[in-house]
Amino acid sequence: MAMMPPPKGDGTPPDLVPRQGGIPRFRPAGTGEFLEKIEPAEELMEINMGPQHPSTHGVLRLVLGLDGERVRSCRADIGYLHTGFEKSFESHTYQQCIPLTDRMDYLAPPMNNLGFALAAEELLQIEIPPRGQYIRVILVELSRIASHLIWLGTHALDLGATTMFMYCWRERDRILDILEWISGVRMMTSFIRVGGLMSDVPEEFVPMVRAFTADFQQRVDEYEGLLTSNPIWRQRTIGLGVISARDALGFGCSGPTLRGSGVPYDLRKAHPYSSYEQFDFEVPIGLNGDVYDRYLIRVREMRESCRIVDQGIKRLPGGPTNTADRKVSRPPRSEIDTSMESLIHHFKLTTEGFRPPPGSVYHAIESPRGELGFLMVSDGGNRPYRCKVRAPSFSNLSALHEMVKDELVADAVAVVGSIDITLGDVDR
Amino acid sequence: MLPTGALVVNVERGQAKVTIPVDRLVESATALRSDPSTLYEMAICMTCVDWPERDLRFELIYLLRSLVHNDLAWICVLASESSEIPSLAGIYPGMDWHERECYDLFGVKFTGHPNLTRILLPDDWEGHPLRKDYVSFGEPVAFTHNIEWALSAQDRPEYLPGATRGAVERP
Repeated sequence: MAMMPPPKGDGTPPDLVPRQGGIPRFRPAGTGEFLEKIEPAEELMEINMGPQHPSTHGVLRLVLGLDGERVRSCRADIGYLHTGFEKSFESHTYQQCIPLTDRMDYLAPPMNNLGFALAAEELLQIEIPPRGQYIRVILVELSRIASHLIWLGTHALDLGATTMFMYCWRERDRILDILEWISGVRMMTSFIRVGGLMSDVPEEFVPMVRAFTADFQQRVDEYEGLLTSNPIWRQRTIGLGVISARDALGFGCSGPTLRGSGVPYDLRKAHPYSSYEQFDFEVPIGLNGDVYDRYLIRVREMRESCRIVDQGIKRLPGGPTNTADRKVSRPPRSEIDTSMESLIHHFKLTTEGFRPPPGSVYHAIESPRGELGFLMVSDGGNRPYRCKVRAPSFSNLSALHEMVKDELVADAVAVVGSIDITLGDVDR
Repeated sequence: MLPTGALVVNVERGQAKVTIPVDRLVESATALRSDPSTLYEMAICMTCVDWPERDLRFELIYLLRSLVHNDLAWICVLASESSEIPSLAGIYPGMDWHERECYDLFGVKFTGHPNLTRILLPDDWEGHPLRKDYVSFGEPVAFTHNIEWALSAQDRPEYLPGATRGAVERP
C-alpha cells in the first residue's frame, strides 16, 4: 500500500459527512456493470468461509449463499470455542472465577475482570477506594487501546495493508510490557479482583505509562496517515456493510458497531462506573453505519482512551487500592502476625471465600466491543448460583447477515473485520 | 401502554424486576418496544436461571434497554420444563440467538422461533448443560461408597450388591 501524506492541519481526520453516493464503490475494472446485468440465480451456491479462514479471527464458520459474486444469505455457525465458562463459574468461588473471565475476551482481559468484579461488588454492596478505581480505569483503557490496535492491525491485514499489522503490534507490545511489569503476566493478568486489585502497582508503573502515552497520539497520526485518506482503503470500506440505527438496536449491537450508525451510546457516559464521571473524554460517533465509520470511531477511541489514561496518571490518588471490608478483601501480611482476627479472615477468605447476600444483579461495562454485561445471581453461597455473560461480540455477530447481504464475497471479509468479534467472547 | 394485571414488581438494589405471566409476554414486549413512553428498543439479552426444586423451575430474564429514557427493563417469566414460551425474535431480532442459546443450554422451548436449533453445542449433544442437575465434570468414578450410582448393574463386580450376572455367594 502506497505511503500517503499525513492529513493536513492538526492531524485530525477529515470530518464525518453524510455520503449519498458521493464516492463510488470499488469494483474490479470492467466487471461492475457486467455483474449487475446477470440474472438472479435460481439456486444459490453455498460456500463455507471458515472455520479455519484467517480473516474470521478465530474459528467462525460462515455459510454464504452466493449468487455469482454476491452474498445473498449468510449463516454464522458458532460454538467452536465454547468452553462452558458459565457452568464453570457455578463451581468456583467468586475470586476463582476471575482467571476464568480473562479467557473469554482474550484481547482485552482486564475488561472482563472489571465487569465480573463490579457485578460481584454490586452483589456485596461495597465500593473500592479511589486509588483502586483509578488504576482500574487506567488498566482497562490501556487494554482498550491494545484491543483496538489488534483490531486495526488485523483488519488492515485482511484488506491487504501488511505494514499496519507490524506497527500496531509494536505499540501493543508496549502495553503488554506494562501489564507484565505490574502483574507478571502479559495477557491473562487477573489483576483486577473482587474488592480491589491483586496488589498496588509498583512505582515504575507511572513512568512506564507516561512514556507510552507521551508519543502514542503521534503513533495514531501515523496510522491515520497510512489509512484514513488512502484511496484504496476508502474504496474498500466506504458504503460497505451498512446497518441502520434501528436495526442495530434491535439486534442488540453495541459499542463502535452501534455508534457507527449514529447512536451516541456509551455506558461510560450513560451509566458511569468506576469513577468514569470524573474523566473528560468524548464519545466519537459515525453517521453512515458503514465499515469506514466504524474504523474512524475506533481510531478516535484510541485517542480518547489515551487522554483518559493521561488524566488518570496525572490525578492518581494515594491511599489503599482495596476495600477495607475484611469479609471480602484479605488483610495485609503485616496484620496477620499481630491480629488473631486478621488471621481468621485470611484463612476464611483463602479457603472458602466470601458469601454475598442472595439476590441478582446485572452490571454492564463498555468493553472495546460494546456492552459487556454480567448477570449474577447469588443464593447466599460462596459461589455464583448463576452467572450469565452478555457478550458484546455475540449480539454484534448476530447482525452480520444484515450487513453482508448483497455485498461481494471479498467485501464480506471487510465487514466481518469491522464488527471486531473475538470468538472467545462469542462462544464463551 | 404496559398491560396491567398479574404483574409482580420487585425492586432490588435500585432495579425494578417485573414478573409477567407467559401469555402476556409478546404483548408486553411489543408495547415496550414501540410505545413512546417506554421505547425499550435495544435487545440486551435473555437468559434463564434454573431452580430445580421449584415447580416453575425456569426463571427467564429478558433485559431491554431504552436509550431515550436511559433505563434498563428487567422482565421475568416463570416457566416449567414443559412450558412453551412465545419467541420474541419477531419483535427483537437480537433475541433470536439468545433464545437459541437458552434452548441449547437449558432446554427451554420457544414457539414461533424461526430456527430453534443448538447454537453453541454440537447438534448431537445430549442434555442441557446449564441445568443444575446436569453432571458436568467427566465420567463418574466408581468407589465402593458410590458404586450403585456410578456403575450400571451389569458392570458391577459380581461380589457387590445388585450385580446381575450370576448372583454368587461371597465366601
